[in-house]
Amino acid sequence: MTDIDTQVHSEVWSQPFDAWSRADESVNPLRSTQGDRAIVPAAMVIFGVSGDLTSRKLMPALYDLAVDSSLPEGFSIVGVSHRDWSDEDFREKMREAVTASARTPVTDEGWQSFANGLSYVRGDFNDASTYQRLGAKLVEIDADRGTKGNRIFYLATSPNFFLPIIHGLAEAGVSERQANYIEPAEGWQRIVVEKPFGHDLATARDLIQEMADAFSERQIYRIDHYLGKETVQNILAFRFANILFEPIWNRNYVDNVQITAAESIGVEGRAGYYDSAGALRDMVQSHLLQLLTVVAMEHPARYSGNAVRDEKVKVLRSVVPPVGTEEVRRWVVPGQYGPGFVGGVPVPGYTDEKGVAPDSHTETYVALRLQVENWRWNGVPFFLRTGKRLPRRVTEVAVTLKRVPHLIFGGAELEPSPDVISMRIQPDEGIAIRFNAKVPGAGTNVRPVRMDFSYGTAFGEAGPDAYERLLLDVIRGDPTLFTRRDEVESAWAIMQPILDCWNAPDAPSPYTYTAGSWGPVQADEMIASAGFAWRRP
Amino acid sequence: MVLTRSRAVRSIATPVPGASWQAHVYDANQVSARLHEIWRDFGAARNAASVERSPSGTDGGPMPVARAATMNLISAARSRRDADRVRQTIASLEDIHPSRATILYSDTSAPIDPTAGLDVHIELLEQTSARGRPATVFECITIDVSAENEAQLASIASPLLMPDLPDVLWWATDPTDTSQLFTELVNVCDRLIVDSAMAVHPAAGLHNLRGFVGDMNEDVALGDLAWARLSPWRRLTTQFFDVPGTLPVLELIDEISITYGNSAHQWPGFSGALLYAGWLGSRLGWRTPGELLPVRGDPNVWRATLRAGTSGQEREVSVTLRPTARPLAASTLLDVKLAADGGKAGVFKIDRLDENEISTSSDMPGSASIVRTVFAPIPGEADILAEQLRAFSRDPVFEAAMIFAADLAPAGFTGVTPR
Repeated sequence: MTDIDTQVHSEVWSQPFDAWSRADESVNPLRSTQGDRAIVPAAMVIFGVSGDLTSRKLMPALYDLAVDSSLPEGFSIVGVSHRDWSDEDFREKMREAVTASARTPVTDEGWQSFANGLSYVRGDFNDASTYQRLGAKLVEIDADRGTKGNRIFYLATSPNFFLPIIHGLAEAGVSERQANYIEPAEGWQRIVVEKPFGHDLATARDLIQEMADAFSERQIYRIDHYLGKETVQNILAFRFANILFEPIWNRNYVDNVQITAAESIGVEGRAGYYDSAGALRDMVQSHLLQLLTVVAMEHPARYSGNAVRDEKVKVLRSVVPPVGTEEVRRWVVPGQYGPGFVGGVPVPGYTDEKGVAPDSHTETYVALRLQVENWRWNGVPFFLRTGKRLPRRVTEVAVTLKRVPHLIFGGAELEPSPDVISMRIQPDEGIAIRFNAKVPGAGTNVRPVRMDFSYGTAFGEAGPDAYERLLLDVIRGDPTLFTRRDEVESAWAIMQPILDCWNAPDAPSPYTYTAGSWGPVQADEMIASAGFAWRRP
Repeated sequence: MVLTRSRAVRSIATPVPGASWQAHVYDANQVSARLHEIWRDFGAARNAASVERSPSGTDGGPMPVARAATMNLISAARSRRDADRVRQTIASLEDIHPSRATILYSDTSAPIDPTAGLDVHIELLEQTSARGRPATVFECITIDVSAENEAQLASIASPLLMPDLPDVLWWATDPTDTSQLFTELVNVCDRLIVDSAMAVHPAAGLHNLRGFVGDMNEDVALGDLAWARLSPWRRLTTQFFDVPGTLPVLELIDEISITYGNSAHQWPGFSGALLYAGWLGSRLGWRTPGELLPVRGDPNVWRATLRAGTSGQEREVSVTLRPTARPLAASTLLDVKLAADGGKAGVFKIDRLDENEISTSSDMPGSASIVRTVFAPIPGEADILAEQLRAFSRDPVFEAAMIFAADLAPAGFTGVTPR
């Protein structure tokens, strides 16, 4: 066992430092602050460059970063796919994609400057010669564009190709496992993986281990684009840059927490993937649990890589999922939409969607209760729900506080509304606080009012797209907003008892709900049985 | 990271119908009272519309309009033209904006009004937002007094500041105009923003700012729009030396050539050129034994010889400032060239190509020569004011650059004739 191997098992737990150190890093005196870290030229290899993710998100974001001069000169992109394209074909396709989706208008000069760094390698991901050609191309780029061996491998492919690509890169000598604690100043390599990170706990562990054989944890960036959203990061600022809320952010004052991610759309061309995944894997295991961690985590020592991720992992390890058939059936409600109307438009039921099996039992909705059993949150239920074809698109976290123990106003029949702190992730990003105020007049009636901080009306600016932010973090080597292996494992460990129950032969089918409603009535019954009710976000 | 979009998509806030008030008043407290009424009426109208759309409202009933306030901005103007320009710029702040903008205007060219009092115009401005975000509504107050009553202005401004917010003074006139009004307004603000390009005498403007930084209360942060115009130039220059292997070349820089704007109808870019040289000099530890002198045979071109390096390994750095009448330079720079060891160790160039784009090129022996084009539209006044409004604390990098620049331009130096 080498030194590196011994680090594999310890590298993810409670790192003694927060930022990966970089060998022989010299400081550019023209950079004004320590945090203003240099971004050096690199080559980004995108596997699956003909796919939707590349054309809608990655390439427009990279173009916006490049023309905004956030990327260094010499930054290069190599597209890899099975399509029979030339370099020129690839550039033309990418220009169409960028023109359609980039924030920045595309000009001939700007595009030409960007396109000079684009090149293409055609190949099958299962064919070793693909990686040999890629290696030769990267050597050529190093010489022509000064990238000096700095590489980013972006897996924008179906998960089926993750391991063939990782093995292909390693076997061809294009990638190498680099030391975990010291990143070379030149010739560094990073790999970016899109979710899903596995299909269940076992496959996630397999994937993690296979990747760990080829790349150290420092080199791996697992993207959950929710973490790139400004408003998710603002939850951390809201909690840890203010003294106002921290004293009440615990079991003594919080009654319950509701996390909602509602979509009004259906599967929209993703039926192939979605029908094998479902809402639990697609949304809860990743996005919703990430939101739960930033709401429930303790104060990190500082805002950087492992300090933040250590605290998130601690929360996930404190989550007690429902275990066993009885608990899962009581506290986890799967649903599947039937036909209905969304926004006045008739829409088909899930099993009538193109690409979905007519007898599919895939859940398009899930509501569940989780408990976070630690000193801060013991006894406070966390209710999570997500679904497709709900009345509107909204993602929010609502922290409902306990009622006052005694109300001196009004008659005994008046029960004061609980105060609510709601953090809206999308749309209309912001934070609102509901509290009680006296109704003007001679009486002493109180009623709830809402104080609203809206990003749009306060700052007027939205900040960069989540992918721009995350891509830039990968390029400059900041892993703070990426999911560490122990986060992935811990999240799957929460989901696994539910999956086990659902996979049992006698598992019930998802409850049907009408498209355009807020989900199956059983979800309302589930939360009511705990003594609560869903908010209307 | 600040992401700017094309100026072509910038929208201008428009007055909210019915939410304005104009009057001649004798007591500034009337302004606060009227503002309260305007917001109350505005809230009632919005609530009525909201209830009409959604009878049950949100969270149990219709909610009053609540505002998230972020900043007070006070601006002082010396002419009607300046006041109009200031209002237009504030209305164009679509990315970041004050919650309350107060424009103080004292027209020294107008006949003195013997009647004490203030002409006040209050309006709510609504900025529609891109990408489906909600519209932003903020208030703009313009207060006009006769020159004789200028002393009143500071006493009016202070009670109009919304509490618990950062207070920013945008001194939208010649920065050498340090009148009593200026001093009194600075005393109630957290941040002062000037434009050193507007100084009639650039050297005097920078000397004033240097004195201000030396004397001022440490709680007041100074910003300069001329410095903000340099942002892309500084960023691109810095990126040259992020590339591994180029850092040692910084120690060999010995020639800097800067072409700055000096066209009719634009503020000259001379102070920007000085600040750019000052930034390089202060970051790289250069010294200023010499001052700017006209180049023999071309009195419009100015040159200074600086000293760099440690004792025993000193070298000279030649800084040349050259004007251009090309409008593309737009109150700042047109191009920059840095040469190391007379060009033998490397040449780095930044050129503005057109209104939207800047190109960079670097040539070093043994390294790939790369030319790139970046999207960097010529910023409007709203763009650079927005950039300055994002900062609330002192900027030691700017202050060091400005002090270095002031040393380069000795007192009495006028450089070129401003247009």
